[in-house]
Amino acid sequence: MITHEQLLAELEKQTGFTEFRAGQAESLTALFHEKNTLAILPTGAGKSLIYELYGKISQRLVVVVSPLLSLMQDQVASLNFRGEKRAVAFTSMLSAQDKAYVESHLMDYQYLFISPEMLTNPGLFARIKSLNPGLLVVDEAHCISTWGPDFRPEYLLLGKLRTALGSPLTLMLTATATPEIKADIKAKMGLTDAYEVVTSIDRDNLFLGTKTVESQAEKLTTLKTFVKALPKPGIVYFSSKKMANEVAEVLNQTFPFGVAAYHADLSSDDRFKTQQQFMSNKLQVICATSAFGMGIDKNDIRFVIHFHVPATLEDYWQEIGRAGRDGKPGIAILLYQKHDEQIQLALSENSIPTRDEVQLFYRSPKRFEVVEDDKFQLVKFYHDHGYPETELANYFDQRRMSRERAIREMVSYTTLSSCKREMIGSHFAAKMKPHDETCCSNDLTLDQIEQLQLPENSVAQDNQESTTDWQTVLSQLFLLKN
Amino acid sequence: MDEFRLLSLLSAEQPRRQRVIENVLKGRRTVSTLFWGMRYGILDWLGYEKRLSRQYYDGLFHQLLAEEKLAPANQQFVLTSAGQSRLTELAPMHYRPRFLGVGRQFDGQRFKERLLLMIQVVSEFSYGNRRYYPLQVSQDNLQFVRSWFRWFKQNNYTVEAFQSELETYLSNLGDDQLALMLAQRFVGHDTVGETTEQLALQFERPASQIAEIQDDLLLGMIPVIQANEESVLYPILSGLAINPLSESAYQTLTEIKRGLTFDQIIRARRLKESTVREHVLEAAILLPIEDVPYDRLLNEETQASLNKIFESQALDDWDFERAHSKMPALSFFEFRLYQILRSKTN
Repeated sequence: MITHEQLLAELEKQTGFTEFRAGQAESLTALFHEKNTLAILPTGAGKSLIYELYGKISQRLVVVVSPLLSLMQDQVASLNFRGEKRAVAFTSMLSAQDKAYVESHLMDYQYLFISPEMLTNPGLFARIKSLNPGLLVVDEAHCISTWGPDFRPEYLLLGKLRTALGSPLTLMLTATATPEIKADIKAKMGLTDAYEVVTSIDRDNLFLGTKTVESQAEKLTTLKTFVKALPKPGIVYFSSKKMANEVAEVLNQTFPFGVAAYHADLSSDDRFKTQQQFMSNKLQVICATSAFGMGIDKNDIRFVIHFHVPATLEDYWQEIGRAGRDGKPGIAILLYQKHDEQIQLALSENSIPTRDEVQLFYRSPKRFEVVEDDKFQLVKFYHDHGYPETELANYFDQRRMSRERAIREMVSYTTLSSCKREMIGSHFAAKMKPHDETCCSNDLTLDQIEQLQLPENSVAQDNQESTTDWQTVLSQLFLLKN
Repeated sequence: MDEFRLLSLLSAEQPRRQRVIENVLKGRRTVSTLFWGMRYGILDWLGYEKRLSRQYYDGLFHQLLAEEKLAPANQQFVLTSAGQSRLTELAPMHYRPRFLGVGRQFDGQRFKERLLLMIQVVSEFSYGNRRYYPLQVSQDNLQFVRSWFRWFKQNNYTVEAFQSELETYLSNLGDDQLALMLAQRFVGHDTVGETTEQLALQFERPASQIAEIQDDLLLGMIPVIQANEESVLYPILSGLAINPLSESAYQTLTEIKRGLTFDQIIRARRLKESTVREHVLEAAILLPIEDVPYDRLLNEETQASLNKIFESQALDDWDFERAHSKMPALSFFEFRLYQILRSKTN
């Protein structure tokens, strides 16, 4: 059995760090004691280090089930960055050629990132099983409970898939989970006795501010005022790509510092460049959809502003967790205009099948043999897995209600005049720092921001001027020896 | 696809079919699309916009019709003089790809991924840095670049040699603006280049055009590399050549050259006769004239009769019914094949 000293020695050897962050050592120790583990660690606490180190020490295949393509790519990029080349993301985005390549070279990889949908592919599953993985990781495990039922039903199969894989040692990771969600994750994975590693979810260096505005125009003006006053870098989140683009353009024209949009419609080259320019502070503000930042190792982000309300407090807490990872003060701001939640409510309404739709499907399932519509695909999934019609219809009603409840809860956070941190704490059943003047505000002002004494701007590492001739670009690219 | 692109794919002299242009852009390889694409001289655009939406395309088409930039001509369309002057007016703000044809011979996407990653790897290497985020490319390209880079070091190639090839290419473009647009696409040590949006602001062109220019100029490197076996980049071309024909069509052609008859091919490979004919026509359209044994497929007599019937008629106006009424044994296959042959000899 591995001792704490041995773990520390490995940590230093592999990463150069000399001490673990909260929860890492405890999780690793539990895993090396063959305990299935549910670890609740805040965003930026180095969740991936746990399975990375486990793989390095055990030298066995680590399979990481992850919900988001961009997240997987970021994680592979991070491993590559640290010199680990044996990592690959097996996703629907791979070409047929690439899939075949990875499948036939599976034994060459130490870390396989995969979506739950891909894992259900029988051929690949058999290959993975034959390699006898040492650790199964369920990243963003709260998705099993919060997303699975409505968007990603394959998540619900993970428990069965795990058994079919021969019940490998399992690590479930998430940043945010209420007691119900924790219980639900364990139940759905069939691991009700999993060992729990819980660290504080509070981010006591983050100030939580909200501001209610009367109109879209006022929202934009308020955003500009805050963005101007706040130290950078920072992120502004939107629920639509179009708004992210538009606002990025406005901010770019208004301010001397670099602002860019980031979302799934950018080419992969542009996504890479935007991310790297933000890392080096050439870009100071990113206007993004939630795809941005999940895997970003940038610890000096000073603010996260939400232009639209997110769908759940879990999402919100996760997204603002990208600010202030360096431990210095940071701020999370939510801008709210009355009825903003209608977007989220409509999204929820449109994505969960209605009773009529369920009935339509069950009446003639054959008609839906090939179906593109997300909702009918969802019904088909449950149908094919033997759910009776009435039960399913009731279930979707419940889901719709619980989604609505989550959105209402999000809105009540937005307009809450008592301590917001306390509300988060009671939502997650977690202990939070007591309220003081660095805690929260229901009507954020510039004065309050000033009193926070946030750190200075991070300065761009390299030359911010655009190079105006190609010869210079080339000579900067390559350092010639003579 | 925008107004300029669509106008530039139409002609004032030759009436053209709405669907043929659409299908060429989408890369639909039916014999009819290929044939007319060849006749219009737009085959290099084959598959250039695979995701073009029918709704968008038709919308644009109707708009140009309503604005009388196009005029109908016998179920086809020609550019009006208004259309021609609009095209001239738009031209300075638009880019005409220079290396489209290269994209039909080589897998441009894989070339691009490989090259950009090579540049990044050599750049970081030149600064002695091993910790960086590699560009995200497909697994096989990643493996490819890794082994290329081993080869690069083992054979003592230098960063200078690598840089000088890029420099020569950019310099030979003869246009500093274009060269800069391309150079800003490169990523390396502490240089991330500029995004298409950033370049769009700088050069006052739409971002989509920037990407188009960069992609085209990258394609243009392929013939340069291909012509120089000593190039440090030469190995990049390995596995990138695209066979112009499907494997099955290629096999049919080979068998015909070996002297097999259609019947023999049909029986041996359990193909339909129409399939074999399509293979031959596809090959005739896409390959140079010397690669297809026309004389074996069309006897002299047929060629002479067809020549006589259509002596005074423009190729685009040839009508199978007319030939058929005079030559009852003539098949549409022979008619079309002869038409292709004449297109290539004219």
